[in-house]
Amino acid sequence: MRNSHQEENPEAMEQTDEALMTAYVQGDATALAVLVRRYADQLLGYLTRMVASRQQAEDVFQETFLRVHRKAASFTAGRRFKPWLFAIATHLAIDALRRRRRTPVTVSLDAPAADEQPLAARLPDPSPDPAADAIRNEQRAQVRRALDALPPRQRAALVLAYFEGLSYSEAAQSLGCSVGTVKTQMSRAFRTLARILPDAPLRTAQGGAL
Amino acid sequence: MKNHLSEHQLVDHLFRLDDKGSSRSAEQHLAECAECHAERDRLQQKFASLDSLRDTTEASETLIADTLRRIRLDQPARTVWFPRWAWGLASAAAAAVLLAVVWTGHPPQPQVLTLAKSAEAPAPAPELARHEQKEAVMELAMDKPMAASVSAPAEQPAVDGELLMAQAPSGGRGLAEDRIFEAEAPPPAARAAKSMRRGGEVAAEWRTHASTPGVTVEVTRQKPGADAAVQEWKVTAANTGDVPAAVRLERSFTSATWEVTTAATNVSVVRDSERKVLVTFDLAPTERREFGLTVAQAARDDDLRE
Repeated sequence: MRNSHQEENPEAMEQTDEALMTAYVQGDATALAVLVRRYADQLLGYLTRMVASRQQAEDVFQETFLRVHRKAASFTAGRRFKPWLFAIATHLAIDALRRRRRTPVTVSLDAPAADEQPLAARLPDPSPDPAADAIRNEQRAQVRRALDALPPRQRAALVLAYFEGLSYSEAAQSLGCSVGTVKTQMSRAFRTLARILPDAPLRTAQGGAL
Repeated sequence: MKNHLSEHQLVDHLFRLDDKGSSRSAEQHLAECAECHAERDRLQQKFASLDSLRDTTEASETLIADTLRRIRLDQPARTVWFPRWAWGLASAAAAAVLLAVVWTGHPPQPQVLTLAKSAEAPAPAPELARHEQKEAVMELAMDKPMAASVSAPAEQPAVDGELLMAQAPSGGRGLAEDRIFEAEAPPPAARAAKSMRRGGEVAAEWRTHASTPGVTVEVTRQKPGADAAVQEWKVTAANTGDVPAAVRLERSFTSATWEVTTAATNVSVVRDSERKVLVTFDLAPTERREFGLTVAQAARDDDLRE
């Protein structure tokens, strides 16, 4: 998460998410900017793991905060912001996934896939072990494919609770279901992954696991 | 050992998805059963690869700036809501007009609400524009609190759903006192909101040059007339796709800047020249023939100013 930026005042940076939302509803336009920055990395990370491409994740990211802006007045006191934000994002991400299934995806040759680095980052790497990098990338691709094979709600539960570190309660609020349902979805997701993922981790020629 | 743990139980135990009782008994079993212990280790190793996706994603400054810009531009067009008494007055006036029509036998004339400062003179007769599509909404944002009054009947008859354009009193008071709205009633809140929702997206595409078939709306600045203080603008909506033609609007405006929003998709706003703005958007041929169009004062007053 980003902690500071010149546009926002230090006092706003200290405020809770909920206080910032209240301030935004009451007319403090900078309050939402603080929230956008506060959650930018985590939300984009979540969306990148949820949807097909980085571009699509960025589109959903923008749409999520637009929804937050438009629905700000309906954000009631006593509600927690983070699960609400992720609920909006999850809803939009699942919509995006469904749209992708209905329509063929056109991928720009220049656009990086969700799990890939931008082109510039793929230029010859000065790292001492390019083989290890290649294996790491392949492992990442394997996991990515396995995640893509999960039904959207299982994937959302897994990404929220396992990768993003939301509590089961927060994940449940984000998905609009009970904690028990989140656990059930996660359990199914892990069992599906257990069938898809290879047993042994990929190893370098020297035999080192990554 | 009998009753080995299932994969389901092992997974739930690994990720603490089981309840306390099940967790305790699984723990006990694993302490005694080498086979299940090995199976748990195998699964654990398998799931270790998930961590390869844990790397931190960083949102670029460009993405954050674009998001904040879209939010900023998404401010809904400011719509003036009339007090109830104003609508009561309007209804009464409409009834009076209807009565007069019945009394005199003349064809019905449209009811047009014109906004003016309450202290000022009532508005002159409005200009009218006609279009063939239902439920088009076009309105100018208001800068100042206004009161409603009822103008005299217009020169041309209106049809149901026709777009009416009411002219504020002249005298250089400008755009803020002009308002165009749908005939007979304020736009339903839901549709108005729908119109507003698209606002930021359209504005965000300002100056983009995508071209899609559909309806083209031209906002054209005319040559200044004798009164140079009043700039002449023509707003024309024409059919360039599978949409019944057409909306044709003509109106004098005194502002050089416009922000156009619609409820349609694939909207592009192209500044075609110093004097012309093209707004293009798609309407699905199978959908109802309707769209919302809001013309509001834009924040970027310099965009179209000559």
